[in-house]
Amino acid sequence: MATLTCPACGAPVEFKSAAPYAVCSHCQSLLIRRDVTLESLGRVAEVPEDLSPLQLYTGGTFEKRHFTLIGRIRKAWDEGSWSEWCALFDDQRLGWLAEAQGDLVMLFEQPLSAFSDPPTPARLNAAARVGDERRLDGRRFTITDVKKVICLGAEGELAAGVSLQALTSIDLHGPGLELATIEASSSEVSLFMGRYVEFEECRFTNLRTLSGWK
Amino acid sequence: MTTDTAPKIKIIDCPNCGAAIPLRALGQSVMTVCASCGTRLDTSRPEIRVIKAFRLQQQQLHIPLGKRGTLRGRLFEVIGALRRGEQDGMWEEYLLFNPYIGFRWLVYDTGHWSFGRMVRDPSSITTAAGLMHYGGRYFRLYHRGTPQIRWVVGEFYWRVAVGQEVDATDYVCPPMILSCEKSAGEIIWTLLEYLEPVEVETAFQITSPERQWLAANQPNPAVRKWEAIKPVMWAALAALVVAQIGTAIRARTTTMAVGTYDLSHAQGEAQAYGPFTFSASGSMNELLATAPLDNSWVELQCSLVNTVTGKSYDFTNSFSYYHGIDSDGGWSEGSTSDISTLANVPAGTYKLIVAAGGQDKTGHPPSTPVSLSLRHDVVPWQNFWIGVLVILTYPGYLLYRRYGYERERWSEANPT
Repeated sequence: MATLTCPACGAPVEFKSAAPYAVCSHCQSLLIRRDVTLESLGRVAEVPEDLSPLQLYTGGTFEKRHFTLIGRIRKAWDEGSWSEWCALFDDQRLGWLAEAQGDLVMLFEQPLSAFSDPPTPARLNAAARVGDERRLDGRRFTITDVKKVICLGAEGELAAGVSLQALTSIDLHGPGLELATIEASSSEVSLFMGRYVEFEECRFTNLRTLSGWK
Repeated sequence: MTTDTAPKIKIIDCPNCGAAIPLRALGQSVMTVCASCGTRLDTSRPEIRVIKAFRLQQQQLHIPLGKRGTLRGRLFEVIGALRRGEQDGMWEEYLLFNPYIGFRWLVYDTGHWSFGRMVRDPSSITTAAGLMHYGGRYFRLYHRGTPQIRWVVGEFYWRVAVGQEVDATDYVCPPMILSCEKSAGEIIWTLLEYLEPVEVETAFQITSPERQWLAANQPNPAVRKWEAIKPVMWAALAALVVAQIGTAIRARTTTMAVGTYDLSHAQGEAQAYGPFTFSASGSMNELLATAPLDNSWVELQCSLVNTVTGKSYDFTNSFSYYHGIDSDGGWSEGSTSDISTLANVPAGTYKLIVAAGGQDKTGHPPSTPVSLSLRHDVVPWQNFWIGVLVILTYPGYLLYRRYGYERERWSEANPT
């Protein structure tokens, strides 16, 4: 836990994790940690209102390990949008809980060595097609979706930066309930792997009350 | 545990007609169709945008938008509805939402309802011997078609528009349907389960129209009854087999040579054999009579007489054997032996009295003697087989009904 100062507005910015990024709740500046100081990378929008039962500091459990949601990015493509919650596990590991179309997916960033044939951003942007197969971590994945995504808004602490430009996002289905997402900017490729989780399985605490729902 | 920041449902004004449009799955849905004018609005961004203005033809739904109901123990709200059609019919698909659960489908077709969820592990669907295998079930191809969206209203998690077509394939394993929808660049699998109309009527306080025909995934009532009686049937069969094994173990089957009856000399005469000692009480006994007959018949009038009480058990043992050659070749009928059964004979000493008669083609008694033997305390099988037959009658009837029902179901299938 650390409290730093927003270089843009002077408000205190609390860190529960060692996440490298945060959004100032006061002025919406996207901040990056530089040792004990913060540097502003520009402004991001507030996360638009939604009917999600999740909120900052909702607690949960994934494979017997407890986590807390400490940040969120809302992403959008031409035909829709979804949320990615940054999950801080008790062992300080960071994951992403994606919330899309009523489904939840827990993803963890993987080293690019998980690719049997690590792609370059240029090659990914040019060559990914729905239906193509990729070997990731020795398992077979099929591309189900390729889209350009932008950030609609962000809040809290973030394990990864918010790209202020559009990214290519590639969704893949693996064996069983496994999923993977590849994100590529013009210069970088990131790989996230994980699986679908059931709402009940997460045994959430500190959920948002949604009027009339239980 | 929950906090108190209860968000209200967001209501927007339709930019086209001004009607109030509630957003029931804000943040999860990407579009809504105004229930008043049919204008399609993009709800995926904070600023609501018109996708396409439209003039909606008002249509009645079986469940109105915004209606909530508890299905399979969970509360859902109807947030969107669409009608899809093919040449031979039209059906309704309702999108249900609960923010803690996500989206589900409720499909209505000619009085039948099914409850569905998108398959999230399509890689687990495999083909096996022409069937689709998923979740421990084997699904058989039932229907292929290209349904088109004819009418749409409310909120959806993808962009829906009238006129959109998909290549749809339904595989059936009652009460489930595994449905595959292919569109440009996307394959979506949905698993649907049949709901009894009363479940939907109770959940949403509606009146569902009478069911027509037989739905692709309607449960076979004979299967349910069959599953219910199956344990009873197996238990009854097992009890019968155990009883029969017990009887067989107790039976001390002994064969006693009796002698012969010479028809050519003693025709019609009563001859006595024995005495024989029947050691088991209430036993089952057999008299075997054999003779190498040649186009002749034999009839033996027999009495088993207790030498102490004089009680007599009378029975007839008869057989005949004829053979020859006709235009179809060689033929034969009958047999050269017969077994008579005497059940429930008390223990004791018995004599066997036999008076036999017979004739061959020349009108004379058969020249060969009839050999006789007694088998005491044999294992009775007849009651066992009657028992098996009785036990299997109702299950057999159910299997017949089950088959008829499935034949009717699959006669409606259109797997082209």
